[in-house]
Amino acid sequence: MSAVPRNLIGLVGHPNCGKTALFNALTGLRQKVANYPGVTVDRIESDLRFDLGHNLRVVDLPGAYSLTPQSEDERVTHDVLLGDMGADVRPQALIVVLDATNLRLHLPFALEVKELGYPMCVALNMMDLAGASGMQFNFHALEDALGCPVIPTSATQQDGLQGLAQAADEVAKRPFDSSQINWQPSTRNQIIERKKKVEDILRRVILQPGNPSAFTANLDKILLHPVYGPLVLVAVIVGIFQAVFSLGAIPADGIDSLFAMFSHFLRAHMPTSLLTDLLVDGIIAGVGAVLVFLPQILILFTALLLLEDSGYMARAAFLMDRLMGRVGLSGRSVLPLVSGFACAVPAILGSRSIQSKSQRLATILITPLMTCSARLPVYTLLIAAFIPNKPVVGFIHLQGLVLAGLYFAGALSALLFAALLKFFNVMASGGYFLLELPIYRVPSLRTIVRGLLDRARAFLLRAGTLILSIMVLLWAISTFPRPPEGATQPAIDYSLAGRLGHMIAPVLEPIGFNWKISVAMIPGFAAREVLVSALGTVYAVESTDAENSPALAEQLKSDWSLPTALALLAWYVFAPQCLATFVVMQREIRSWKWTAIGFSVLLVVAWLAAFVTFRVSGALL
Amino acid sequence: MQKTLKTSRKDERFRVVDVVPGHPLSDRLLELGLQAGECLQVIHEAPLSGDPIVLEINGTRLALRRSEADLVLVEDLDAQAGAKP
Repeated sequence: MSAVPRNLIGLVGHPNCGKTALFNALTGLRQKVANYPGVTVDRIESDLRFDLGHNLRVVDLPGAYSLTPQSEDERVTHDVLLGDMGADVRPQALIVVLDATNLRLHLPFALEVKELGYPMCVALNMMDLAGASGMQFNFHALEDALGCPVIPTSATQQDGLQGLAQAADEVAKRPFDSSQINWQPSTRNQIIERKKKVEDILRRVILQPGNPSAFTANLDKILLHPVYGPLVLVAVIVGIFQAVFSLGAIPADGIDSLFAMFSHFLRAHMPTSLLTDLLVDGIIAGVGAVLVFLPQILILFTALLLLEDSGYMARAAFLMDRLMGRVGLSGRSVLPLVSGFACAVPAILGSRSIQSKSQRLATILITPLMTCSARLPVYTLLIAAFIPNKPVVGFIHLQGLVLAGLYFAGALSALLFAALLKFFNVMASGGYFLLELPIYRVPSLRTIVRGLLDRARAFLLRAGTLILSIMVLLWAISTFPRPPEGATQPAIDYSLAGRLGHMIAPVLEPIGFNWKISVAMIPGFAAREVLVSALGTVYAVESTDAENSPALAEQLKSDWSLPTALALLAWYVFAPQCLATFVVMQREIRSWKWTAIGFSVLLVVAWLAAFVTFRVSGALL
Repeated sequence: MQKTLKTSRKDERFRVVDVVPGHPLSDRLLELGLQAGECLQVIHEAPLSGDPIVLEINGTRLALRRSEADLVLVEDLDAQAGAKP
């Protein structure tokens, strides 16, 4: 990049000031998502949707309580404002978003930002809530005190947006020499001085105080109640799972059969050639493998966004902190770990709000153990083939019980791994937990939809490009070299993947895996669900729709012993078979050492778990 | 020894005297409003263990562990006499 983008306005504020809702209300649906240099924190930019005669671009900076960073999120905001991220991403002017219902908490940040010298205006947000609680303000007094325009806004009611856009446009025209920024971390005295100044300002600005937290206080009496609180939390988690698996399965099956139909169509209408193979087995299978998880991931993200936006997620973190603390994590680890049930990639990205470095590292390292949706096709295939669907107690059947057991095993081992990390005192600094419990709010539809679009796009981009290219690569190594004339074995056997599979077969033999599983395992290291289609290839099942095909399950049933199938299930609880996860892990923790340790430990434990399962079940059955 | 929030119980009210410096969160606690003279109330304790706790200070609710609460030096505030800050 050469020229500094002109007219870039930064949106800054506390994590709970309604900043993102305001960003969404100010901008259209078209937005540019990019990464900041060196970190994976999203940089979300978009043009103001108001007609100002020219474009004005806004960037939504991560929420921060102060300019002295306590988490990766806050560090990004600090680095951008101080120019450490380069001139390309530094805004020309700022909109400082303050929560009108809690000015005493939010004003010190405005004063701190003002000291940097940026041209700025203030959005006094959540005016609807402040007004409803009877609060009254003297806006002019606040403008005088801060020396900048103050615009009352309500992102959810779409109030004051035009005025804010115009004010932002005005201040952006002011010249600002960013080389003059001279920032030092606030001293204790500065923090105390700022607070005094805030009290002085509040005396002039707040004409009528209200009690905007009254509803929140009442709701917390139930949701944080020693008995009802945990019960509600369990109900919420069970409800989310129910939604993901019952609702998500419907569109997932649809997408799956759509891609199967498309493959059949191409096979029928294109000549048998390498190109057709590449298209059907490489590209379409690759895109399909990504898209099929999208519905479940979107449902899970909708739930997570609702929990976050309403303010409940902070309560869940509070209720879970003790359990998490026992194993060296914190309540802030709850959100990323729950996201891990959908996909480890966004879950690892979500860990950046964790303040303590050691807690963040531990959370990231154990996230691959949460049963992500990519394990589901493998579990489903093996359970359908090997576990009889007989009732156990009432409506609970053995198949469902085994599936639940696998999820439980994953989550439990995640906590055990964290406990081991803590026990061996790998993490140098001690952990801590400090979290603001925001006021409860009705989630805004716009924010949910927008957040969902962002996450869907990020998932498709990150996972899609990677999985797609790997699928093509895998197709190539499973196809070449081609089998000789008159070959009797499946074609994959002669390929590079086949040879690799035969090479690792001796290592997997003690845990009950035959060479065919070993061969299918090679492409399975790119992404877990690939194992299913790879097994289909190895067993030469003539169906592109291998997941739903009873043929593959029948084949496996006749070829494998029950201990082999159980060992493979145990293997899959632990095995680090997802390239995307470890690519993102490395980028987030910026340590090849820890990424390598995370990968190898999971691999060794997977082998041991499969070994024990194979031997024990072999002896018992 | 100076009293801290470490052993505080639900519904108890205190006046902040100081925050012990030197901890990574010390300055953050000050920034969040835990400063000398401010009044606060413990409004929740976590289920079972009673750790972490939730404080209410000037309309802000903060959840923190008792180990961090130990950084906050306080003095008792008579529940009857203490008006809302």
